[in-house]
Amino acid sequence: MNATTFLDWTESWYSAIRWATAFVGRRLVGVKGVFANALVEGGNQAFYAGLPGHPEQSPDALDQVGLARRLFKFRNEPTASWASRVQKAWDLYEIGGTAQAVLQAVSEWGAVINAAYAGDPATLVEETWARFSVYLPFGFVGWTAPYDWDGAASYGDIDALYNLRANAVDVDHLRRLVRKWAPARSKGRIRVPLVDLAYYNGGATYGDGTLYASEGDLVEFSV
Amino acid sequence: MLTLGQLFTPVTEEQALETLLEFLSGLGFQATSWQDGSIQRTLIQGTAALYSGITVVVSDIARAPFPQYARGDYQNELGERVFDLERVAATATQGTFTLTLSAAAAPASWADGELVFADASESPANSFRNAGADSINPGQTIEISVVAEAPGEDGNIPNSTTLYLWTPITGLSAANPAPTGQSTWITAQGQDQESNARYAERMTLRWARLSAGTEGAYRGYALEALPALTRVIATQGAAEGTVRVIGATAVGGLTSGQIDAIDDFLRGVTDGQSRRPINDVLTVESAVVRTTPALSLTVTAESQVAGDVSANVEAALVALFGSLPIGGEKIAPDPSGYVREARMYGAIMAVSGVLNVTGVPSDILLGALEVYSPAISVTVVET
Repeated sequence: MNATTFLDWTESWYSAIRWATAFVGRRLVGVKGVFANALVEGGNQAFYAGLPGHPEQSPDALDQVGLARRLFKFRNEPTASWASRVQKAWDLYEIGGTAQAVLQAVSEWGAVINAAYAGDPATLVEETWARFSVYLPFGFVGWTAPYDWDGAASYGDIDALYNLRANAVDVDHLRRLVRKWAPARSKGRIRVPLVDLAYYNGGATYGDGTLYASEGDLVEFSV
Repeated sequence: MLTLGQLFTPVTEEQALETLLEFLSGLGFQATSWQDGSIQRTLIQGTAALYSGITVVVSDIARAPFPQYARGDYQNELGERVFDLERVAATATQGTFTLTLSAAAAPASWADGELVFADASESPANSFRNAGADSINPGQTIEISVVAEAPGEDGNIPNSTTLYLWTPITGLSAANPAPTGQSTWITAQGQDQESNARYAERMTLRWARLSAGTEGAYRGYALEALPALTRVIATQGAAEGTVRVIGATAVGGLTSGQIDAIDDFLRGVTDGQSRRPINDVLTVESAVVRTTPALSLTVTAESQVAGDVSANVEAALVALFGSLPIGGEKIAPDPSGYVREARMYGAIMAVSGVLNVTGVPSDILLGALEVYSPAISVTVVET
């Protein structure tokens, strides 16, 4: 879509009206053209502001469209990823309340937090009485174990050994995501290994739920 | 590329004129020397006014796609045509008045809407008309239905307010006590027109309603169920499979009638269309109303406006507390919610004529299901 400009309009004055080519006239017409162009630019931008992902849409307009769709931007999320999520909000809302929706949201979150990860995806295990657990494989996203196992305040401590990337804001986002896309009646848990359990257990199957945070190798929290 | 903030801010006529003068001066004109009333000055002032006016339109158009920023008719059009939601109209208070005719008076009768009652002897006042024709004999006391003349919450006057009969009938007096077994004379609460913020929230929650059984869907439907509901959360209950929908109005918790209205709507009792997924064990509850600490404030105010300050400060605080979400204001990642001291100061100091205030408590920690609705007393010290 091309923006209309008033360049042609000012040129038509210059060619059609003799005084408009003179010193004073040319400048007066030019000033009007500048103002008119500014208005057209504003009008165009006003239109683009509501179109998520449009190249002419300003970043803050994209944020607001996202908020209007009850989505939030992840920490350090690239504009392209954020715009894509906002554009495709319909798809996720249509499957909201399903395991697929929760996993898709968690996957999108993980792709922003640890873009280099190329291992297994997150999995969701349904349990009795509307309970479920989301398992994030080792390396999906690393974070440090909090000193206080019950609190999120110490999430985000840097630990280069595990290539930790998530901080307290990310943890809060993850909790909100799972809560948002899971059924309201459900009780969820997110379970995250801090070490490679396959290595730790000498090749035992990961995700059997037998290891707990108190043992120092699995973070588990409710949502 | 213009930011949304820039687009939302119209250029004032003064700003446009200043820019024009700078342009023209830069081009060699003696623009700043042009006198008011001169042809040149008048022309550029007209241009500035036109430009400024158009930027207002640009701002409105830029706001139009955003439920939270669209204004006036733009918001109504957005709500109706994109989200299929109409703004909730204001409704008039309905209730029951008690009329008594003195034994010495002549029998009286009246037509539907003929009698006018008010809570003051003259305007401005909240006035009411009788609904339905009726008659009364000397010494008799009867109950009649009344409807507020103006829609809105102002018509929800307290029980036993002094009433004035603006349609004089000799010997006839009116009162509005709560009928036996009832807590209020009101049978249908008056309601203001839905605010922009609430209307916008309903629009955004229309997205969540695509996902049945999620917290957003429950919240969206609850707001549809009860116009007075302004704050609502949905969360899992302690028992397995339980969903708790917890709500509050702008002035406090929910009444049992309001809870029933939401519950009936979610279960489809109201319209035969259930919004509750199979197996959801649903409970609708009022938020817990926290009344402590009570607020006892001393406000220093300019003497010219001191008379209004007490009521205005109280109204500002009630509006602030009514705008806070259930569980208070949270700043992630801290999961705790508060009534912030700074917010209270901000609300009080924004009241016209207020110079200082003491007695504001420090941040008040709220429970996850609490709203704050304290008794407020304001002492005004004039300067």
